[in-house]
Amino acid sequence: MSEEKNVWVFLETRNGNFRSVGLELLSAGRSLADKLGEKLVGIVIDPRAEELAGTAIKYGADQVIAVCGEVFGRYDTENFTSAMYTLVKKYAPEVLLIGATNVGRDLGPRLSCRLHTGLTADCTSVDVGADRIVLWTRPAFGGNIMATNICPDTRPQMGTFRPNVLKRLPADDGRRGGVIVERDIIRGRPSLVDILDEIRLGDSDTANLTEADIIVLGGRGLKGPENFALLEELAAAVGGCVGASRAAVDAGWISPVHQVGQTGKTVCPRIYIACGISGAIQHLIGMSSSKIIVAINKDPKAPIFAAADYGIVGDLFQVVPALTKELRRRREG
Amino acid sequence: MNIIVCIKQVPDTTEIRMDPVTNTLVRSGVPSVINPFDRHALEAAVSLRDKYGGTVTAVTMGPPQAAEALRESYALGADRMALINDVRFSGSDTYATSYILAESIKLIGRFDLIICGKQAIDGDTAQVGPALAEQLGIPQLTYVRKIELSGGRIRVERELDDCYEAAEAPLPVLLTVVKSINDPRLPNVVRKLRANRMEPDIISGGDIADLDPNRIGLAGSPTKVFRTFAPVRARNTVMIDGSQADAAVKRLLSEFDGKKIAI
Amino acid sequence: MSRYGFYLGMDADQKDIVSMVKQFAEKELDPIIGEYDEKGEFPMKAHRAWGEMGLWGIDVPEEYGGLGMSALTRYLVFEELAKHDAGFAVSNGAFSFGLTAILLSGTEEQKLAACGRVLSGEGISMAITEPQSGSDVSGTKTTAAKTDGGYILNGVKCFITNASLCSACVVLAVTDPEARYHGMSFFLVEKDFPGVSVGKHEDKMGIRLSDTADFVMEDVFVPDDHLVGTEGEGFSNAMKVLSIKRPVSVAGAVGIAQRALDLAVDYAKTREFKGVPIGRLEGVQFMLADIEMRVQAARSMAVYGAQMTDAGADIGTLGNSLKAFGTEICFEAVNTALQVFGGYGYSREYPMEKLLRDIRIYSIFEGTNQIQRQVIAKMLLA
Repeated sequence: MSEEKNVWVFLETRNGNFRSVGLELLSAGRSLADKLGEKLVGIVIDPRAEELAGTAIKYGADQVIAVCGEVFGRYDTENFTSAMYTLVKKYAPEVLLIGATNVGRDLGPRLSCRLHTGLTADCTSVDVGADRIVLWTRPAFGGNIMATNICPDTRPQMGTFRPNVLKRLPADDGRRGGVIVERDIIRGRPSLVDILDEIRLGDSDTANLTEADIIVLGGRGLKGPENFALLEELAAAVGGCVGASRAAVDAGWISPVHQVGQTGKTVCPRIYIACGISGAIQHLIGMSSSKIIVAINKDPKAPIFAAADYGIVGDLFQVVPALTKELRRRREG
Repeated sequence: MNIIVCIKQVPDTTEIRMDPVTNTLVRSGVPSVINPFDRHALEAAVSLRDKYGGTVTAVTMGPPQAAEALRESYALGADRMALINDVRFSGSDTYATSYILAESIKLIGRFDLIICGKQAIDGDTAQVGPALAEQLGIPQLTYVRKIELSGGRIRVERELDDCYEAAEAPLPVLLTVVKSINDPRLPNVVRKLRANRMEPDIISGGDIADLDPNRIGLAGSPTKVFRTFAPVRARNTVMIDGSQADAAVKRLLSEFDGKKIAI
Repeated sequence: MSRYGFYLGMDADQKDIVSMVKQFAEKELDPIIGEYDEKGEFPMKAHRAWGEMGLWGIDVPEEYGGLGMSALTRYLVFEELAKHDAGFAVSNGAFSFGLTAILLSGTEEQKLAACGRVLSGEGISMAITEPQSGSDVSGTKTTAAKTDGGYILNGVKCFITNASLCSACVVLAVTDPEARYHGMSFFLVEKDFPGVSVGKHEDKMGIRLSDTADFVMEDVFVPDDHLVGTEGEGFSNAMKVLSIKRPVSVAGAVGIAQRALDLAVDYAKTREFKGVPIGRLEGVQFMLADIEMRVQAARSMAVYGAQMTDAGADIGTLGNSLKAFGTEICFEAVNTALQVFGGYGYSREYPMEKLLRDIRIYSIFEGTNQIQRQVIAKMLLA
């Protein structure tokens, strides 16, 4: 067991480029590698893997394993699981981080099961504890509780992180590192899945919540679907997006593409403006302390005020339009 | 066609609270529900069965009270109920759970399709579905929002971060579904009353030949919970009187200006 | 929700059923009530969802393919439903009014056909009231003149629940003007018989999700096999139908009053007077306790009536008492709850005023409380 070494980060790609989450993960990987006194290795599986290796090193990797092949042009469960499995068996990493995107959440558990090892999903922080065991911390029960998991006996110790939870290290163009190129590493039977087509989402199908800097959140206190228009106006005034609680979505007041929180989109804006939400906010937002929360509610005892940075006790149907008006005035002036 | 739906009975996490003194979850008085994503999985299975014929078996691994979730599944259209219950299974993480589920499903019989919800709202890991597919050696298609069947092959539309992907595979496969796949029906009262008089089939450790004791329960779980704690969010909230909206807005923005928060 | 805000003796099945009704209401009713109350329209989509749950068969006996629910279970269903919207509960119940009449005195073919229609969601309503005769049923003017192979019906019925929605209506008409109470008969009138029309939809104060309209018959030919029961039985059958329905119809009033209580309690915990929640003021506490007592009393009486019905007893004027008294104390309860709400109770932005509008009808329809008193006194002094 002590033969395994190094911290690996799976660097997800899309259309021949890195997805941001992989580069964000390098920062956590860097910190783990430093604490363990080991190397940070970026894993790139893509037809352009060799070309991308340099970028991985810029963002903190000491070494890159570049797996090339046209077959990897698009994510496929079996192809990628098989490739990763071969690599892990060959190089025996101690720790493996994967971004919790659709791809990561599809790949991670399949791979961890094939490797008969443990995976902790959707981590918000990671650390090294006693005996060089990684401590993976994540929310559970809808964010009501935080749990720290360990994987003491099997290797690699695996974990996934959501996008927008970690911050990339600044790019260091002067960094150098080794690149190992691998080819033809898929073993076993080929994938049975045919990917037929990709349909891009129109603007109406998706809210750019995951990238939004400011999110105006609406809940049950909005009383009805028509009142989300007030939030749309405020969001437009600040160049932000409208998000909604599960209650508002379940009531049919707004499309599920706007749902944030545990079963909706994971977001990481700088500022939240929560309107008509009275209850516990941890259902909706992560516990990262870097966010600023403004809550508007007419009940001074509403639990949300305990979690907010700024609380306006008032009628949102007055306050929100007033805020929109003032912000528009500032932008024009 | 034979469809298996994996369901989980979970506490309604919108109702659950932390006890600030003991730092544990207050579970009493919190209603148990079928994991919301599993309702969508069940609806998808039942709709396929209504269209193509066959049997839908709702399967859950849990304590005896999980039978209630199976009865609800019956009320929602499932034909058969199977409860996987054994004291030796408790403490299983997602890996051990997927092993136990796989062995149990092999006992239940030949299947064409397994449908799971995207994730359970208590664990929030979304790991059991793919791990189960791996244990059974069948393909997985995750984040499914649309299903079509034809000639022993399944065609799905998957909801990815930034696009929809159309994919196809031969049966048997395992699917995990997202909410936008359907609007689950309400339970049928007649079926529920009938289910109240039925017991699910029970699968326990003794029913599974060659059950590997090293792959079940706490001993069989590669991940272990090290500790749990309440999410900390200490705040010194600045409270603003909002009875005069314009004044409140001015106050908020001047606070922001003071702290150089751009808005 | 108050700790005793429901019948304490529910068995496991009843708990399940009530829980499913609650799920239904939260999904299909709660989100749309505001809009439909404003419009005064019955939500057909919710009605269809009710059917998909298998609940159209509540009043249909098991031997005819229905759920055959006991009166107590039906009481529980309607109390829960009325906690969300009494108007929907009223119309919902009225889909089987005509069925009750047919089950009482119809032929086997009529019963089978009627059960089928209720099970399919089409429903059969019942029409007694006329513009000139509400309480005075003996003043019924709708006539049914015997003719070859059937009857010709002429008349106007008003305030008929589900007149627009049901596919047919059991109508009380005079077949023998001399015989007064013994000269009226029930007829199953199909909506699509020539000469039948549905008049203007009533713009009501409350229970606005229920459908209420005129049922107009102009020279409508009704074949012999659509006579329900024998000639002359109509009035007594009509009274029997109302009597059978009585404990369950009071469920609506109890549901409204319970909801009003829950709202008032929540309000009393948060609304402040001189920095203190008004729930700490004894005056308000006494008001809340008064509401609670009344809700419990109304519920107890209705449940007693339902249980006795299920036990096969002829509850007679017990039904009239529980209707008259139960509906009146529920009105007091809601009225007091609104007072606790103060000005916000008067505002349409808050849910309380709708409850008062909804409860007001309960002392009027299904036999005014004045008629109930007449019947009770008559029994006492007989």
